[in-house]
Amino acid sequence: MEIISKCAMAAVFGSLVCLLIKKHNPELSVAVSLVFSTLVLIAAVPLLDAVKELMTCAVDMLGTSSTMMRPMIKCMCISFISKFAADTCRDASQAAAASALELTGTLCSASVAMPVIISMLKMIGTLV
Amino acid sequence: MKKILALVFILLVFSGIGPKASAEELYTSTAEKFGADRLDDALTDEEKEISGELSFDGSYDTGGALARLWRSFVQRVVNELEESIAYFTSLIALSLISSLVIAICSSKEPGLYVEIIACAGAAVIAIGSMESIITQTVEAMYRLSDYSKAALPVVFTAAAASGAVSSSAAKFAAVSFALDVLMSIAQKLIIPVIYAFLALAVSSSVFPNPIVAAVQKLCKWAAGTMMSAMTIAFTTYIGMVGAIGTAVDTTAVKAARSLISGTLPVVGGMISDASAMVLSAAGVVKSSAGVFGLITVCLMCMGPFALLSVKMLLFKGVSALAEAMDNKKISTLFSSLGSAMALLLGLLGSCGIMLFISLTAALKAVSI
Repeated sequence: MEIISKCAMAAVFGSLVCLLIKKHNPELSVAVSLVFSTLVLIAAVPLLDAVKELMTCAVDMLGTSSTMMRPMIKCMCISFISKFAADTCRDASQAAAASALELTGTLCSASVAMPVIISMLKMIGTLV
Repeated sequence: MKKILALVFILLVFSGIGPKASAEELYTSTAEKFGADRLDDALTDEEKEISGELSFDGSYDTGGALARLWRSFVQRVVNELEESIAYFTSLIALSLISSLVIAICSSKEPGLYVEIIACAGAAVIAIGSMESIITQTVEAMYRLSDYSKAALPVVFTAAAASGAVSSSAAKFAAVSFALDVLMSIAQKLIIPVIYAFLALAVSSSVFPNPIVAAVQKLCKWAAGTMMSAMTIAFTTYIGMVGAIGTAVDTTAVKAARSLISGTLPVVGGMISDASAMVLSAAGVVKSSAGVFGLITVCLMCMGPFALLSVKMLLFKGVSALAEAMDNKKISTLFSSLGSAMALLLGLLGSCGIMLFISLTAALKAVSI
């Protein structure tokens, strides 16, 4: 609760600052937005400990099948990075770059998923 | 007339056992002549322990064998549950992780790929074990088929010797032919359909497609209908063959006995009584061998039945859990795998029931 309150305050304050300086210096506005966003994300890092603990527990339950975890985590990271970067580009009025980044994120996710899909298709091939 | 002469011949052959033989010796020597004493050769030591010692004097402990069979089945179910827990826990964990990661993912597309990865991964893990389950089911079917080749001649010969000369021959021919045909259908047609169902189930759960889903449903329907049709056709065929032969045999045996007692003035009545004793001895052997055969069929089906039942229930349970986690792809996959288990269970059940009906048909043959 404490973390989200601090993050909310930082985000609202950052947005107001960006709004104030955007008229006179749009470049600086984007930079300030980026800094505040990064600060908010850094504040959220300790929260990942609980998720990590749950993941570790699940990996222990998975046993030998834990190799499936890596592509899923990679997809999750790709999702975070592409979303954050694309929204930053949109803030800088660079919609084309944002779309390209989202497309690249999707392609990256697909390429991460491919080995698992291929092994599944090979397995189907052995059945038929 | 030919049937009466054949029956007289059988009676004369078995009359050679000797007048001083005790009932027990008579049963044992009759059983040895039919090869009934080798009925338990196909069983493992553990199975022999459960089925109990095969005796032909009517003292076979059917109740005890059934009680041991039930205890062994329950034990197997418990063992399977214990062995499957780790495997199904890993599947639940995979479902849980994917739901968690999808919830954390802020973009739609990477979330979709996480779902695909989880579903494909679960399919790879699950199908690996499915292969061995199908192999075990097919092996059980082969065992049943082999056992039918060993047990049915014994029981039907005993049935023929107990008076059901024509109906036993007809039933045995019908049962052997029908069992061979239907076992071939089961192994060469239904098993491939179940494999196709599995392949379609995996692909339609990972990449949902209405056409693939429709073909998958068709495969399930085809396998289920073939099994039902197979069992119904077999039951009807055996019933029809049995109904015609039994009345003929009853008449033939009565005619043979009155022929013997009427034709031979002094010893006719004695020979007729001796023949009645031989017929009843063969009847006792038939009943003992038949009941033992029925218990053996249950024994052979027990292991795969326990395995398939436990896996089917667990797959359905994991599917319900995955659905509760809003993981539709994985839920659909596990539900389909549970259905595949149910199909295998049905297939093995139909083969077991067909053998059961065959043995019961021999047991129900004419008794004088």
